[in-house]
Amino acid sequence: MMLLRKIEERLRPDSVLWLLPGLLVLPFFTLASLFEEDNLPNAFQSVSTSAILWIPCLVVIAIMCGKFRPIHTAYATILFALYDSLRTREIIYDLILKVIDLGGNPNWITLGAMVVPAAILLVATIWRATLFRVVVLVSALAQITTLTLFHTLTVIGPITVASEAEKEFVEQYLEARSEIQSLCGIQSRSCFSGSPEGLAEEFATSQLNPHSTVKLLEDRAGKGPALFTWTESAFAETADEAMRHITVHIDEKERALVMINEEAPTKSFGQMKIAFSILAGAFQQTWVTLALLILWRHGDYTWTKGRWRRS
Amino acid sequence: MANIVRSLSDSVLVLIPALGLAATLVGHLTTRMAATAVTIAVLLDTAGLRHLLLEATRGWLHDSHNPSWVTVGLVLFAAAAVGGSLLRKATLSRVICAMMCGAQIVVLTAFHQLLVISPIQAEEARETALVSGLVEQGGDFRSLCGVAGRACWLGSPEEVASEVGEQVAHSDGIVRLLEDTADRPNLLHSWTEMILPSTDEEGLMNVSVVKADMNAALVMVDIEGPSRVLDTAKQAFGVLAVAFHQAWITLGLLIIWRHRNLYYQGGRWRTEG
Repeated sequence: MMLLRKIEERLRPDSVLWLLPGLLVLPFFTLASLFEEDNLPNAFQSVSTSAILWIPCLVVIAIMCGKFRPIHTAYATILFALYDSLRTREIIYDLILKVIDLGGNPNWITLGAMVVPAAILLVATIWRATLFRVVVLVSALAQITTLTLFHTLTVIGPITVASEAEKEFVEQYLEARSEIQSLCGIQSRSCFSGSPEGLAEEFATSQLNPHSTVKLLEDRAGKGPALFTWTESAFAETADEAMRHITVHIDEKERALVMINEEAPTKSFGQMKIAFSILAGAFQQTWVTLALLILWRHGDYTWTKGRWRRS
Repeated sequence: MANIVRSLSDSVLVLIPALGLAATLVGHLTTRMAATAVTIAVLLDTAGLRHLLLEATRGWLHDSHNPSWVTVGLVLFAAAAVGGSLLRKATLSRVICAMMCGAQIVVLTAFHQLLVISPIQAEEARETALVSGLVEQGGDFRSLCGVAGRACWLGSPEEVASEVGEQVAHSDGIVRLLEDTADRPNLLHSWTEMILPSTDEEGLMNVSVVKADMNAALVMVDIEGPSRVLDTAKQAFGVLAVAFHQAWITLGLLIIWRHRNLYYQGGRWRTEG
């Protein structure tokens, strides 16, 4: 510990240059993702799944140290680099999956990684309030609030509208023409027809692997005509995340048609991911810049006996 | 709901320009002056100044029916005014207001592009793909008529142009297209356009026109579906714009309130008086 302290002192921990890793981490990360990844939405998505965890990393530092020193920015950046390069999210996801079903969505880990440290920092701040902890806590809570807002407005809202539109379109098309077969091939909609049991078996062994479709076909077999349309996220645990509208139609003769529309919703979903990531990234850069500027000037204040005092 | 959020965000957008113009005029912004500027801006906006300015400038400055252009003009004018006044005397109030105006331009441009323009373009691409797919498959898109609020007109190009002109508001583009392409036997056009931007009932319209021979045109108009997309986009833009303004105005006014007498001269900040 003493050795580490000696090394730290030799590195001039109060130099303003140590703020640079924190200020530049997001631009560098975004540029690297854009160069590395061919798929633009996936490149941007890595900002919203990884880069936003820089603030939680600073939260961890704030929990451990009450007083801010510019070198803490570099520590947070190292912590973030370790989290990202060691694929910690995926490791935690696999571990938690043994206990809780996360619906195939590893983004819950990202959310947990933001919420849990923020809650611990809140307790630490109540115990001993320093300006470092207060500023970082405000940043973390603002991040959680705005990301929730951005996600609801840019992702959940448009997906709901698109899902309702597809449902209404398919229902009315069927009502007007008494069939939906003629939509097959339009906008890359792929169709599969046969008996409900046969299709359920076919899907259960296929690469597409839509659990809900198989379950629905099994449940509805022998129960007469039915029409179901819904939107679901496919392969959320991999980089090739997609959205698809699925329609299952069973007619009076017990013939089933499964229509999967993946291209258009996936394209829209890609745009949503870009929008969300740009907003999340822009917000984070602004907050990090402001927070580090405040901390650089006033990072050694502590709240004691009803007022802020310099330690 | 979308119109309520839209109306709220429209009113909120004038607050930062109002503070910017006040700082330009008085140099050091006091709390009373800031409150007065904000109140006057809200009152003028409620009185319909935006529409009056739009009408007054139409013809010689622009040809638009969209009052949002007045807001854009006001935001840019305020930013230029407060930026110019900094060259004369850089008070802290002006510096903060200039930053707020700059941030407003950047953030609103990003919000508008990401939350409004992109979803509209995606909606246009989706409808175009659907229509062209059906045309490739069966010659026209008649099977879509009546589905999810789509209305169709079929007949000779002249008849269709006259019926659409009578029954569809903002049908100028469709009528002009049918007239301009009267001598073309084959045609497929699909596009998305804004309707009624000068009223509260603004919406979005998908239009598809197909001609298989000189004497038969089919026009399909869909207002319901794309307008729903526009409503979602307006809500998202409005909520984020209001949240952004709330944050910036609160922070900006707090800084101005604490340091309102400062000005920058000779390489350092000095206190007035």
